[in-house]
This record gives sequence, structure tokens and C-alpha cells, in this order.
Amino acid sequence: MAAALEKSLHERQRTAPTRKIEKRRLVSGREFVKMLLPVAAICIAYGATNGLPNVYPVDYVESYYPLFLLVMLGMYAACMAAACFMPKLRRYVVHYTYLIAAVFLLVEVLDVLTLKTGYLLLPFAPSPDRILEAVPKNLEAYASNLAASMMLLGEGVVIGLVTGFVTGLLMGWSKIANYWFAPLLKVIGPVPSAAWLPIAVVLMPSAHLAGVFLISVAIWFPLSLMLSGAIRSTDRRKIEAARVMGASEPYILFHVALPAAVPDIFTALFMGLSSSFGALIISEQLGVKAGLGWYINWASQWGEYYKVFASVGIFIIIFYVLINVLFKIRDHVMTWQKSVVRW
Amino acid sequence: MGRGKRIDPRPELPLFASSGKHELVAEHVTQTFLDENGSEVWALDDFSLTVSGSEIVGIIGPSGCGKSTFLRLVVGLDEPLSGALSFDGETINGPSVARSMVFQNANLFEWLTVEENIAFGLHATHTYDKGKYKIPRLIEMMGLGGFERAYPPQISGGMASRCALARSFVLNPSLICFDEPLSALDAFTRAALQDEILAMQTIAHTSMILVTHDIEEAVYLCDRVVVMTPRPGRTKGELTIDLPHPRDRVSPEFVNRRRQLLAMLDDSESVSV
Repeated sequence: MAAALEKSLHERQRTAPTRKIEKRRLVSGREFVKMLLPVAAICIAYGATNGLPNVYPVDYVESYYPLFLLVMLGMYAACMAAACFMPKLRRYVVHYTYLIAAVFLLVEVLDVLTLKTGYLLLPFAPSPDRILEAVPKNLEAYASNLAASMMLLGEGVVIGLVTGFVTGLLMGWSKIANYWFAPLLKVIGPVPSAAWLPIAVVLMPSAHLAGVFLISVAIWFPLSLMLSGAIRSTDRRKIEAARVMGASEPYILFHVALPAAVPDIFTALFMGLSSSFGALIISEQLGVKAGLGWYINWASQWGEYYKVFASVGIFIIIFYVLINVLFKIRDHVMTWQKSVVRW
Repeated sequence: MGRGKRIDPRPELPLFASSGKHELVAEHVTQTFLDENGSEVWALDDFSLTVSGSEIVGIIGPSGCGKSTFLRLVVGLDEPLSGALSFDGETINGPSVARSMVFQNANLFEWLTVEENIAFGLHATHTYDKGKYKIPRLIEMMGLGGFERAYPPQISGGMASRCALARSFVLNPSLICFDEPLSALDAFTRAALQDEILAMQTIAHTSMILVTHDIEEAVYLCDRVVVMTPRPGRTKGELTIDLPHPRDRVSPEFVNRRRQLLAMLDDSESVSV
């Protein structure tokens, strides 16, 4: 008995316990049905928009929305086909299947509430078709305004980054710089850009520069605040270790204090980038005579709300992409942190 | 000497160029520092110590007796209130690559890989091109092979300590101060690291000052152990340990030295009461 027990114990030790990870290459029936949900949703939307008569306005001819649904259906079908053979992609598709289906159903609900029944009133609630046609029908206007917005944002962000790094480093390292800059930072920083705008427009030679100023302040404030704080609170033992290894003060600043501050720098950049989007739109709506923010204002004054919705959609896409690019950069820079922090 | 088994694999490019003839002289050093509440703490009082040649000197004493304070003075991170410290005849003012320090808990830079951590001192002193040949050899000697590209959070405590050792040795110091370098390690790793320190010392001919709480560690490594009184730290006594290396931790002579040191420590505590 005891011998048998010992033997079984021994055998269990020999075959080390392995975690069973199922790695099926091919899709299972259950997963396939789940992945079909968005297809069903798109088909319902397509059927509804083609089957129901347009009543508000009656003579409206849809152009882009059915086409859009078909393109989406094609893209999703391709994605799904690939997912059937790629387990990694399939995990994502199966995970998001309900969400994707819900999005198409919601868009169709909007279509029914506007174009098909007139339950929501024009011009404030345009149908999906109107929103979709805004961009291709006003391509030039959107392209030039988007370019103007991106130029403004780009200039502001670059200046904000440069000034933020310089003042942050100076304030973090030198007590004198901290004495002079910290009050300025504390007074100017928390004031929202909308409050600054009229003053900025008066003080700056052009509305464009006023916008650049507001956007750069939005980046500069969190960056210099967090960077100086992080540098001042660098682990003293790390600094001493570097000093013992013969590092000079500037070398310690750039090779110990600055890398140690990288997590805080990225937190500041996320905050700063978000508030710089706000500053961009406010300055375009209130001063600068170009850009998508200005276009939103202009279109709403003409009652063309479908253009407003389309512009907001473009903003959503661009801000989403920019924030995600920053996430990717952070993951790349902070490889060393991967095993420590996740957020 | 015959302390360790490791041999420098390529003697034509010297890893260590220490002559083995160094002398640290600390005379009547007194030091105070401010604690968190801003009140002055008397850490060291009239402390004298001479460390010469390739000697390992241990400093033991109760917590807060100024052991670490003394190391900070030796490497030049602080200046003494009174007294004089000199190394090779020159007064110590500020850090120098000749006097290195291995900190508690390795204290590596976690944004640099193991390799880059070891190279830090070379970069900082702008001698990277001249000294980079040492890096792979130190990695090999320290048993860090295969972990060159790993970041400190990914390696074990023992490896981090080895990396910290390699990081100090790369600058070819004449004197290394150890501030409880192995206190956070488990007993097996600590024993292995102690042998590693001895082996490195044998070929590098550095002087070493070892601050520790571990009496066994002091007896195992040191040629001489200084016992300090509680705050303010004064020299309570000194014990020469003239046992040959490798030392047997359970031999009667070894245990006898441990007992002597314990007695000296107990005695010093009863003085303070």
C-alpha cells in the first residue's frame, strides 16, 4: 500500500504538472455562431434601411449609408474568415462580437428614428446617411480644415514639449529655477485655456499664435510639474550610487534622474495631450479662423448639423489614434517597466 | 593567498590593475547628521581606522552606531564634522572612482539592462571605449551569462547583487565599501556571494570595508573586525581573524571567533545601558 502510494507520488513527480492551454487552430462551432452576430446585425441594418420607406424627408435618396454597411460587412467577413484560422485574432473578434453588433444596431436605430420616421427633428438630428455623406461631399473643406487643426496642434505640442522639458528639468535640478518658475507654474497652469483665450488673442500678434500658446500651455503645465517633481524625488540612493561611480552632476541629471522620471513623464503627457485637444478646439472655435473646431462652429451656425457630427467623428478618430500612438511609444520606451507596472 | 577558485581567463588585458598597496587612514572622525525632525544626531565620535593593502576589514555594531555614516565619509558622499580621512596620502574630498561602494539591496538602475548597469561607470567617466572589454568578462566571471539583456526587476536578488559587484569592479577601484550588501538575500545565496566576493578580492587586490549585521559573515570574510559602540559610534574593540581561507563555518576556531565577537558586542551594549 505504502509502496504503491510512493510509486504513484514518484510518477506524479516525474510528469511535471503542465497547465493545459487549449490551442485549437480551427474555430469551434460555438465561436463561429458568436462571430456571426455582427453579420446578423449588419444584415438587419441593411434590410431595415432598404426596406423601410424614407419619410423624413420623403424624397430623400440614400447614397452612402447602404454602401457603408456593405463595405463594413465585407471587411468584417474578411476579418472573420481570417479569425477562423488564427486563434489570436479570433480571441479578439469573439470578445468584441457583442460590442460590434450593438454598434451597428444603434446606428440603425438612429436611422429609423430620423430618416425612417422623423421622430428626431432636423436639422439637429441628421440621419447616418447625411453624416456619412458630409465628408465625401465636402472633401476639400474637411481636408484643409483638418490640416489646419493638425498644424496648430503639432506646433503647440512641440513647443509645449520643449518648454515643458526645459522648465521641468531646470526646476527639478536647480533650487533657483524652482524659486522663480514654481509660482509662475502654479498661477498659470491650472487656469483653463478658455479663460486665457481673449487675453492670448490680444497679446499675441495673431490668432494662430494665440492658439499655439494655449495648446503649448496645456502640455507645458502638467509636463513641467510632474517632471520637476519626479526629478526632485529621485531615489537618493540611486543618485549616490552614480556619484560613487564617478558621474558628474549633469550626467546624473540626464542618465539617472531623467530615466527614473520616465513613468511620470508619460503620465504628464497623457494628461497634457488630453487637455491640449480641449485647448485646440476652444482656440479654433473662439479665435482662429480655420480648423475643424472652427468648421464645427461655422456649420452649426448654418444649421448643417450633419457636418458637425462628421467633424466630431473625425476628432474622435484622430484623438483616439494620437493617444494610442503615445501608449505604443510608452510601451516601447519603458520595456524595463513591463514586469513592474501595468496600467 | 589562495582564497578563491576563480581565475581571470585572459590575463593579457588586465581586468584589474590595482597594485594592492593602498592605505585608508581615518583619524579621530566625528560626524553628526540631522534626522527627519531636524534634530542633530551624533553618529560617530572620535573614530579611527586604518585599512591597508588587500585587507578586508569588517565593521560590526548595533543598529545606528554610525557604520554606514563612516562608509559615506570614506567614499566622499559626506564630509566629516571633524577629523581627517585620507586615501593613499590624499585627503578625501568628494567621490572618486578609486573608492567604490556596493549598496544595500544592490541598488541597480532598473531602466538599464544588466549589461548597461555594469557599463554605467565606464560611460559616466567617459572611459567606455577603453574599458568595454571588461564587461563580457565580468558578466562571465559573475555568472550572469544569458542575463545580459535582462532588466533588474526580472532577475533574482542574488543576481542583482552579483551585478552590483560587477558594476563596482568595472572601474578598477582600490577600495570597495560594502554597506550590508547581502542582508536581503537568503542564506544559500549569501554564502555563494561571500565566496564570490573573496574570489574577486583575490584577483583584484582591493582593500575592502564590510559593514554588516551578520557576525558569521564578518568572521567568514574579514581579516580584521572592528566592533563599535552604540550611538555615537566609537571603537569598542578589534579582533584579528587569522584563519586561512576557505574558512570552515563550523570549525571550533571559527565558532570561537564568533563567540568572541558576540561577547564584545554584548559588552558594548551593556555599557550603553
